[in-house]
Amino acid sequence: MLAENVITVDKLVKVFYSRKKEGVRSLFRKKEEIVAVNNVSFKVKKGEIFGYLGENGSGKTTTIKMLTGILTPTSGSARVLGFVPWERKNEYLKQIGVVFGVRSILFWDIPAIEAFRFYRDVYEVPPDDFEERLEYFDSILNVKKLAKKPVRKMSLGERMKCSLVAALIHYPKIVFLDEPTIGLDAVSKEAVRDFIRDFNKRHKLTVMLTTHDVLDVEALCTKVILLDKGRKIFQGTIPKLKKSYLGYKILYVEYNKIKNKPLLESVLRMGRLIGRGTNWVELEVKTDGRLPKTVAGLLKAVNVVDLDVKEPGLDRLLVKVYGEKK
Amino acid sequence: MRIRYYFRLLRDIIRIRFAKVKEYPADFLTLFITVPAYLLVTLFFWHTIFSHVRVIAGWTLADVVLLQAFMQLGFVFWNIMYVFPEELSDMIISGELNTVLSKPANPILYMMLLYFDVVNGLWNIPEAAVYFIAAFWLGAQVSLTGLLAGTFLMLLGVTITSVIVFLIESLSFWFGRTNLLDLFYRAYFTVVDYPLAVFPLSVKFLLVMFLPVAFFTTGPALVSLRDYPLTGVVGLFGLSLLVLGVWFLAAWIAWKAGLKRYEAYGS
Repeated sequence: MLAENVITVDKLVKVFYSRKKEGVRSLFRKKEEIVAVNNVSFKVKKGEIFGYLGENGSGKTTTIKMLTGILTPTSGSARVLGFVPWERKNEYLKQIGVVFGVRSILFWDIPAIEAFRFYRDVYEVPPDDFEERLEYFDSILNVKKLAKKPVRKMSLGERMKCSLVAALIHYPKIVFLDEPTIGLDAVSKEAVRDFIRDFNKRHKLTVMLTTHDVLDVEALCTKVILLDKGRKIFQGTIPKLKKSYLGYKILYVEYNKIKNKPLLESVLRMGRLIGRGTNWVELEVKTDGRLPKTVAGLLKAVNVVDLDVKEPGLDRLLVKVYGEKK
Repeated sequence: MRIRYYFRLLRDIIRIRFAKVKEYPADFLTLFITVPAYLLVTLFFWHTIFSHVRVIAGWTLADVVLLQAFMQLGFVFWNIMYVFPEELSDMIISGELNTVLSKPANPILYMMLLYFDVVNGLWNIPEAAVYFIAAFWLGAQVSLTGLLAGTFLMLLGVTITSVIVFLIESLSFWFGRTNLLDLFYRAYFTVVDYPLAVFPLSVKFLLVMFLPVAFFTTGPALVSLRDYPLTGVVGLFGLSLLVLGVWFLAAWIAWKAGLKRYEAYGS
């Protein structure tokens, strides 16, 4: 059976008007039009984790704000779980969760458990379910003991874990995560990713994720949308994205003897050299038929000890996409 | 209106406030030093003033102390229930309002609950009690029904004040940070310290209709006095409801229009 669409966005546009300079004089300056989101359309199926990517100011957070009912669009339409988000109906808001990475929803001076209890009542979670959910969150994030500690004494990673629990205590159907791993160390990032993955699997949670961390995207997302200056420039899976934008693979060869130096040099010219040591080379080779020839040439030119052909990382891709546009 | 829902949230917030007291016990205990010190200073101030004059614009020391008692009682309610209007501007600027708007609750009630601080208002209770006792001791002629009516009028006055502050803070929807406007209502709180009678007629009119100081302290103190005429009591209540209605309408329009702008422009 085909999964239903839980988010349907159609030609969404958001235009902001701002005056260039702050202060009293700015009141008399002409307003500047900023198109934050430009004619964006997409659909998301139930249980998908999809990455909403783009540079700073590309319109990611503005889209999230529209889908969570905080902003109204200039034009276009959207339906999330059958609701028009900006009508802000309580029945809708009860079914979504929002985490703005830089903003904590916990109470700074007191233990996080108090915030969990507060949000339990905000979302009207039955007491038995609350205890059961805490057990579940504890099994993955180890939050039970942590929750007794005042928030101000927590590390950033601990705070994010507790913020996630507070935002998901009502088991929403969709969660909007805006930079959930921002500022976290590698271990905490991994814990957050594991948790999102597990929650998604168990509860068919749909996740809309904006992040600058490509590892988040590669580890979690089944689908991505790429934005550039408010416009959608790509939608699809990560392999498809790489294929569309990169068109090359990375070839790594380690050897213990050079059999034919002129041949080696001519083979290396078939790609773009990205690294070279005394007994290894790494190069980008276009996937237009050159790759088998390059591999064959290298096998003739050197005595190969190890050979690896890999997909380039998403970080390279994003640098290429946005770098080229600049 | 989901009354039980909001009462549950209120219970949670009260628990959170007491949890904070447990986190900072020393801060709470300092109130036992600062409150008597504050009381001593203000009582000494008024005693000094009245050692030079017997009455000021018809107000005796007992009457002024009674006025101070109502002011402290007003601050009990202000500090417990009405802190949130003072925070509105910051919530708009910092984007904190986003969190409020994404919750399944009425935004104003939710903000009111977030800043509801029962502990914050507790320390004004002994202050008010000491002032009332001092006023009786100094010979203030009050009746029980008068005191009740005065308390009710003071509640209206506090509500009017909070509505005005809310309206002022709502201007942040359009103008960004408006901290300088805080001075406007800080000046207001300076004026509530004194009986309205000391001001010239034009200022009095202003302080009844536009900056309704009258209903916060002077009015409640007057209606609690035994010899204050019933027509005066009715008049003050009627006027306070009228003023509240006008300011409430203005604040409601500003909030609705501001929220619409926020939804269009963001923080």
